[in-house]
This record gives sequence, structure tokens and C-alpha cells, in this order.
Amino acid sequence: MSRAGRCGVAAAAVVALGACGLEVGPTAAWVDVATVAGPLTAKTGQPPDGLPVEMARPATLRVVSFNVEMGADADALAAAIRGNPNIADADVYLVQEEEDYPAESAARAARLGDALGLQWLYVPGRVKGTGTHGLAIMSRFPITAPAKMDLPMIEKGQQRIALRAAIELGDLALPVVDVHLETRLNITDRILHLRPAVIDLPDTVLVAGDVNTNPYLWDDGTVPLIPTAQVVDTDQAPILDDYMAELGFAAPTANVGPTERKYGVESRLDAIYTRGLIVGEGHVERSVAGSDHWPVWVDVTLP
Amino acid sequence: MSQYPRAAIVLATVGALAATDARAQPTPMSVPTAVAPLNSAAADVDLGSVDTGPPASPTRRARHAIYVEALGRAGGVAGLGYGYQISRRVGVGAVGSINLLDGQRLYSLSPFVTLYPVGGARHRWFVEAGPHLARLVTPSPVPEWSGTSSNGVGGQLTTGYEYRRHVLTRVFAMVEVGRGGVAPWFGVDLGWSL
Repeated sequence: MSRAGRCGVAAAAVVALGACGLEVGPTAAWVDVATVAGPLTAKTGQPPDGLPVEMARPATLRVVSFNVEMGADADALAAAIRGNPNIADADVYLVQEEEDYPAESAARAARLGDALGLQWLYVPGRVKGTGTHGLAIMSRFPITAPAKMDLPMIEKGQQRIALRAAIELGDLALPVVDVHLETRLNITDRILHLRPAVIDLPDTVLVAGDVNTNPYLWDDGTVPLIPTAQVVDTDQAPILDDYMAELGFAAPTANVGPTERKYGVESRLDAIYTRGLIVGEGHVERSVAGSDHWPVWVDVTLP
Repeated sequence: MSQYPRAAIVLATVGALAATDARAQPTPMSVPTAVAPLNSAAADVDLGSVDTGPPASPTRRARHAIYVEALGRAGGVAGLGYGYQISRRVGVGAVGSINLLDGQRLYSLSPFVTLYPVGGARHRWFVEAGPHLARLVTPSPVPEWSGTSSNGVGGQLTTGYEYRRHVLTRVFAMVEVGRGGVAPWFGVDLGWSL
């Protein structure tokens, strides 16, 4: 073999020992959303006239998590939710991918919340075009103590947030956390991405959202290693469930199956986790249109 | 991909081209007059740069091939492959890789049998089949979780085009079959026949 050929073989051996990784940014603290000014100012609203916020403590609480894919047509989305008896009268909705644009009549979360007759809270995570993109909570019960956390920035990603609030259920203030994680992450980075929002929560808490637990191993956040996914277990959803179990969380949505179908690939991207609560089996409602995700829900028996 | 593997791929490509340059100059040949009947006065005929082409069957030097594989059977985005040609129409080989992906370690090995149903010494259509053995280790990035690992065996069927003359170049499509289902994929090989 020529000298050049030997050098090439050595280089090829190095290629076969490839190392790739995305940078994970620093963690941040929870911030009272009332202290955030400028374009990322939070918005909130009460139910429309004649629809009171409930104050009595219920025996059970139905909680829905739904990525509404920008929620542009709030009326259609509300009709889709109201058209499904399992989630039409839910008590709390943790919503991801809401948006707000000045050219529109109101924040999309406001329009959806009003259409469902709920108190609503919209917290932007980042500026998008002339508007903002963020998370929302809608509830029949008062929403208090809202706070947000900038999740660690992932190289090539966007600023993602977690939204924390208390749902006032009579004499119980139930902490809930709404999250929307980055898309093309490996599970190790996904855990590092979520961890700041869940590591120091109270003993009794509900965490839900679009955790984007896709079924692939990713190279550099760019190439999904599709053949590998056929041979070894690369599905991130059960691994994230396992991580949350180590923190004492139940994963009632572990067996709901896919919550999204895109390009022929079905993935369980959405999840609900509870700790310190008696929780029933999770469900997914695939008949609900209006988004690229399907909503998931659980019934929680209050302590 | 980190800067390091990208640089390595470039280096490997340059190495392949350099090796080609070193070998691609045809060797002047002398042939007996018996094979040059139009010039019977000449005792020898210098064919200069006339390319006589590769032998019909692989010579000892051309039986081995080593190459870098992008995507393909490697499991990750790149792997190292070796092939040995048993006869003109049959070969064996393997592609392996170790990839570190955000702390996860993916070990992959794909041995295979190669058939060349159509083509000559340089341009050929090939079909390969074999198992894919993989191990994925996911160490925990945090203290409160212990991590996980997974082993698996699948099957791969590959078909594509090969050019082989000192340099080995292949482009191919493939399907991977395993407990996760069936998935189409593709890949490119670049290396040397030795």
C-alpha cells in the first residue's frame, strides 16, 4: 500500500470512531412572570361574563395536555375539543405551541380560553416574527403563582421554557408544570434539558407537556439514525419515563401509544407525570383534529 | 458532527485521491509481434499509454478493499468497511463503527455476503445481505438516574452500484429489518481496492 493509502486508512479508522454532541447551555431559575416586561410579557384573562371560576375543591381533576400547533384557528380548536366528550369538560388544560401576534384580535390562548369558558394564562418563551411563541394554562379553577423557567439552550435549537403555576382547588394549591422540549435531541440531552424544571419540585405536583420523545438516536441533532432504531431500543419515551420514575413520578401516559403521526412515523411525544397524587390511567384522543399532536389526559384524585 | 470526524472524512478522501494518483499511471508494456500482425517488422510494440483494462478476474492485489462508509450499514453516520473478494461474483465483508452521540455509545457491526450479478471488473451492480449487530449504551448524564443500554440484531439487504479500480466507490440503497420494523436507508462508500 502506498504511503498516501496508509494515511487514508488511518483516517478512515478515525471516522469509524466518530464523536458528536450538541452543546447544552446553562440552567436558569424560576422567574415570576409578573416581573417579565417587554415582548415576552405574560397575559392572562378570566372566563367570559357569566362563566365563573370554580372555587370548591373537587374530588377528582381531569387534566389535559395538548400541543395545539400554533393554535391559529382557535375557534376550530375549541370546537374540536368540545366535540370530544372525554376532554370537552376537562378542568385544566396545559397547552403548548400557543402564539400571539399584534395583528390578530387577541392572543390565541385568549381566544381558545374564552371559547372554552376558562381562565387562561399565556406565557411567551421567545419572540417569533412580529409576535411570540409560548405556553398556556387554561383552567376552571383559579391559576395563581405563575413562574417560568428558560430551559437550557441547546445548540441549533430555540429558547424553550417551562411554565409553572398553582391551580387553586379550594384549600389545596396544586402545582402544575407545563413544558415543551426541543425536538432533535438524544435522550441524554433531553434529560439535561428537562431536569432544571423538575428536579426541585414539591412532593405533590403534576408535570405535563410536549416532551418530544421521538423514537430516534440523532447524530449532531441533524441525522436520525433510522436503521439503528430498528435494531436497538432508541425510543426516548420509555427512557424519559424511567428517568422521571427515579424522581418519584408516575407515568400514567406510558401506555397510551403514539400522540403524533408525521411522515408515517408514530411517536409518543407527549406525556403527563404525577407525584404525590392518585392518578388513573392515561388516555390519548386521536379523534381530536386541529393539530399535529393528539391531546392526552388523566384523572387525578386529589389528596 | 464534530469538527474532528468531518476533518477525518476530508482527510480520508484526500488520501484516497492521492493513492489513486500514485497508481493510475499506466505502465508501458511490451507485447510480442505475434499479437501485432499489422507491424510484423517490429520486434516489439510500445503501447505507451494504452489502457489494457483490468483483468477479467480479481488479481491478488485487488481482492481486498477498505473503505469509509457514510450512513449505510454503519449504524451511525460513518463507519469503516472491509471487503474480500472470493471470486469474480462473490465477496464477503463487514462494516463497523463506534459512535459517541451526546454521551451515548453506539457499537455497530454488519458482516455481509456480496454478490455481483451484473457488471465487469470496474463497473458492477452488487447485492449484499447480512446481519446487523448493535449495542447502544446510554450512560446517565445526571446523578439521580442510572442510565440504560440495549442490544439488538437485525438484518440488512443492500443493493447498489460499485466502481472499482484502485479507488472503490459505491452508492447504494438498503433496507434494515429488526424488532422495530423495516426502514429504508442509503449510503456511500469511498475507499481503496488493495
